[in-house]
Amino acid sequence: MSENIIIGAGPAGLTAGYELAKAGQGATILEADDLVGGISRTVNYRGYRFDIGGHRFFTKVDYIQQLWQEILGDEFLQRPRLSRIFYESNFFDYPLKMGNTLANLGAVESIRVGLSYLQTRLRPYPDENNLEEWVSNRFGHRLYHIFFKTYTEKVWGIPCSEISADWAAQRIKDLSLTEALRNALSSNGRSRNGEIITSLIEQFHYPRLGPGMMWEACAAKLDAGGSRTLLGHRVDSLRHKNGRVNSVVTMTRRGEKQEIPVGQAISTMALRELILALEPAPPDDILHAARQLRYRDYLTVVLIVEREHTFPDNWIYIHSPEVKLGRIQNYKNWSPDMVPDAGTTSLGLEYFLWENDEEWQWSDDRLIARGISEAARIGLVRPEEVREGTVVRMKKAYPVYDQNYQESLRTLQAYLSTYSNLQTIGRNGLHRYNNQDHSMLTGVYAARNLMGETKDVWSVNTEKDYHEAGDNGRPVVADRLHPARLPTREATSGNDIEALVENALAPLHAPALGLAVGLVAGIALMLATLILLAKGGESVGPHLALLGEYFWGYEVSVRGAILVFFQTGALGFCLGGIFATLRNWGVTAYLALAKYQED
Amino acid sequence: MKTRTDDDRLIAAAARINTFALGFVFAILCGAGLFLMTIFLLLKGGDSVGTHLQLLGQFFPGYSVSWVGSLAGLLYGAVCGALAGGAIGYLYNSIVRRFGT
Repeated sequence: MSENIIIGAGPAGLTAGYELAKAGQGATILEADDLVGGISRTVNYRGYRFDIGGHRFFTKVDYIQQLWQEILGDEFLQRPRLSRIFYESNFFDYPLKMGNTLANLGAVESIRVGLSYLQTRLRPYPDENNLEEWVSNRFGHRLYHIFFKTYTEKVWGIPCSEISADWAAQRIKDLSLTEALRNALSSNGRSRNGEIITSLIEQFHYPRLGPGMMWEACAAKLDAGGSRTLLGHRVDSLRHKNGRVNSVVTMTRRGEKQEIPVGQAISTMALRELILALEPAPPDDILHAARQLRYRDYLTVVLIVEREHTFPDNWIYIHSPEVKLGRIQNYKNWSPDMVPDAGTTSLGLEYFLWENDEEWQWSDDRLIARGISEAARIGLVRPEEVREGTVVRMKKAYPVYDQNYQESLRTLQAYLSTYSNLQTIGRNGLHRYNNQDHSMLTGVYAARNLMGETKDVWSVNTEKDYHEAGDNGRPVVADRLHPARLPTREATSGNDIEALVENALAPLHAPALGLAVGLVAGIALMLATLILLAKGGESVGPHLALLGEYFWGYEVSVRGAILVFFQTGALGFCLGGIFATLRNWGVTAYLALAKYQED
Repeated sequence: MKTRTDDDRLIAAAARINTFALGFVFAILCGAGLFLMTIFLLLKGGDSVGTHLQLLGQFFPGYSVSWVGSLAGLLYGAVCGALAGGAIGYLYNSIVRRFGT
């Protein structure tokens, strides 16, 4: 009998199953691994639990929050967030705090950062096609070099100039230097309009025994409700005909093949692997587009340290270029129950690699030795404190947003839409760098589509709530339903030039400039008078009083302050107006000359 | 009906001022201006150096006609210039947005 098949027991797949179960529909969930949770699993090594990359449970989607509570109930902890950046032997608070950043950078470097920021504000990159341009335009080039370039290139293994700006638009969101500074001053984690800034959340929920606890509980509920989760069943192929997937063929670790008929299929497989698994194979251009997609792989070296306290952070970003280590997790600070012995600590040293890198093949012992050496080098542990270690490798942890992915994705999306009973969801299923909550939401949407609703799974993580604030109606980087290449200079040059010409040659509004100059000048002199009055003394402002030579009735008194405000205001109004008029005449003359020359 | 040409559009438009740039320019002009005026008086020397410019100390605590004072003047001038320029740009744009075409 045909049934609902869900490929992958990660957050997206299990959520889809859970949502179907709530509606009374069963499903078979196929998981290649021996654990549920996908990248949100929790691995248990001799009682030490660890997370693959650190998963905060924070969402702006009420329904997802509700699901979390529903599945896990009282097992949720409210945890404080502390994460810092390690760079040049200093720890920088993250999110950046002004005092701490300036103190660590030093006076000279701080001034250089400030000047670099001003320079970028005055002459920003006209197009924001890549990460370097996107970040530099918001934070300045120097800050980009210190706080973004090294770490990002460690994580992604490619130069920032080759990473699409979409990555920053989705991951950094709502945040600019102005917002970061504002946050440093107010520390309430909200942007100007009161929206919570995603990157600045200072508290988060976390399951007592790690994120895997959530997915183990979810799988258990599904099994109890009549669905089944088949672990160790890797999908080998999807057999299709006339735009329908008819069956999936799975392969167990022992090499046993099984063909399961499909009614409806929801896949969280990496998009590339899904396309390559289709039988018969899709056309060559589709296969080519699938092969263009790249994934970054991840490896964590877990060290068990014989020390009660190592550092207070949940995790530390390692920006120092002298080590390959990208990030360190302190699992005990995520939840005290992640370690079986409170007198010890487990640290996760995270490395970002390509599967075909030589290090990926290194033995566990060699990787652990390198981890100990690097952790000691940056002063976090002493080698003799490390009792033992283990290694976990996670393939395809991150979909890569290179300069080519959008075109491939569009091709594949269009192709997959021709299948009537196949939906693709989740981080790798959509090739979108979603957080867990977004992946879950795609699962909810896919399940509801099976119940007759028409939800667009590709629209998740593009909602306005998660967007960068745009200015002056300029296209916002994340403001698209589907990942799309940013407008290139060629594509927009006509409009850009028109706008530039219009702003350069449009007349200044003389009364407006007059009023602005008048107000500022009037307020300035009025304030100067009032300051002297407030300071008092035997003879108040004898020199400022000389302005009485020019302004009728002026003296350093409250009456004088009012009089000078109006008179200076009038004078400023005239001067501002005259300046604007002269400038407009100049432009008119210039245009007439240009027209004459053209004629 | 007469169509709106590009020329008409240009004539009807009102230019916007880049508030940030205007503030920056004013900051440089005022900061450098006060700095140079102070230095100029110091270099001229004399019995009583800059008695009148000194009066700015009434408004700018720490300012004096001295080498250190010139740096304070640079800072004060820049801050006041930035505020004035920024305010003019902001007010102008607000007025144009409200009343301009």
